[in-house]
Amino acid sequence: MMAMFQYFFYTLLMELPVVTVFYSNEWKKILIIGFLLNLFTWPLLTLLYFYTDIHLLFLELGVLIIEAIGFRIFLVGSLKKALLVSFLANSLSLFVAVLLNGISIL
Amino acid sequence: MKKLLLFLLLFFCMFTAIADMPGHIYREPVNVQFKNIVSLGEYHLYISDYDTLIEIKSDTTYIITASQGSPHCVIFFAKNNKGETDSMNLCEYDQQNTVIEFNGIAENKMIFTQISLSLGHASEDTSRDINSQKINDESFFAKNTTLCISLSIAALLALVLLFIYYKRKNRT
Repeated sequence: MMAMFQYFFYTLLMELPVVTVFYSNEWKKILIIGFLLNLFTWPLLTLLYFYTDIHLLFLELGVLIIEAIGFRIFLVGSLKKALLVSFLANSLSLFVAVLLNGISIL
Repeated sequence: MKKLLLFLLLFFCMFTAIADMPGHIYREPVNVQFKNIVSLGEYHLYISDYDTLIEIKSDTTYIITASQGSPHCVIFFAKNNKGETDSMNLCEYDQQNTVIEFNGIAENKMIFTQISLSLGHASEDTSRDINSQKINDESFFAKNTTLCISLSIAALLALVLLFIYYKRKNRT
């Protein structure tokens, strides 16, 4: 089980610092919100990725939008900022996942 | 906002330039038939699938479930009190069913004949397997589907509760 969830922790390790940089004045809050948002999206993305033919990019786009909405609701800032932060954080984790796992997102 | 969305779109399109990697392409699960396990004698056959180690006690058809991303591979090896044999690797990425017929062990190496069959090929005499233990674990992820969904729901509930909490806190 840990083999599967270690990727969740890697995701957190990559995404939380990115989000914290942009919302540095709310860093304590972002740790909780970021963790819960990832805990909501990551298992769903994993299941959908392995059980459906939905393209990874569309799945990531869904995650990006959900997390951006989460940031907009819980943190101070515009939707534009939330989208940008979510995009940067998810792009980084996706990019690293692509490199580490040798998966293609063609 | 339009510029941002356009940038997002272009950035994701950039990833499509990554080639020569096992892609997100639908693949079929493949079968591996382990036959004549008795010939291994005092050795026990093991299959390592992700972090699960399965002991195979009799002739068995093992299904390597298909991954849509990086190849799903299993490792098999034999072990006794003194040590382990060399391990062998089988992946579903090749999209071939495999028959492994053991003939014994010599110099700490498994001796077997390996036959590769196309997926369309009729499976070889599974019915002849004695006490065949058909293992179809639908991969590691199948076992954790409920767990994954539960975690997602729990996280969503926690977010809703946090939202209510922060709203009340702001009012006061």
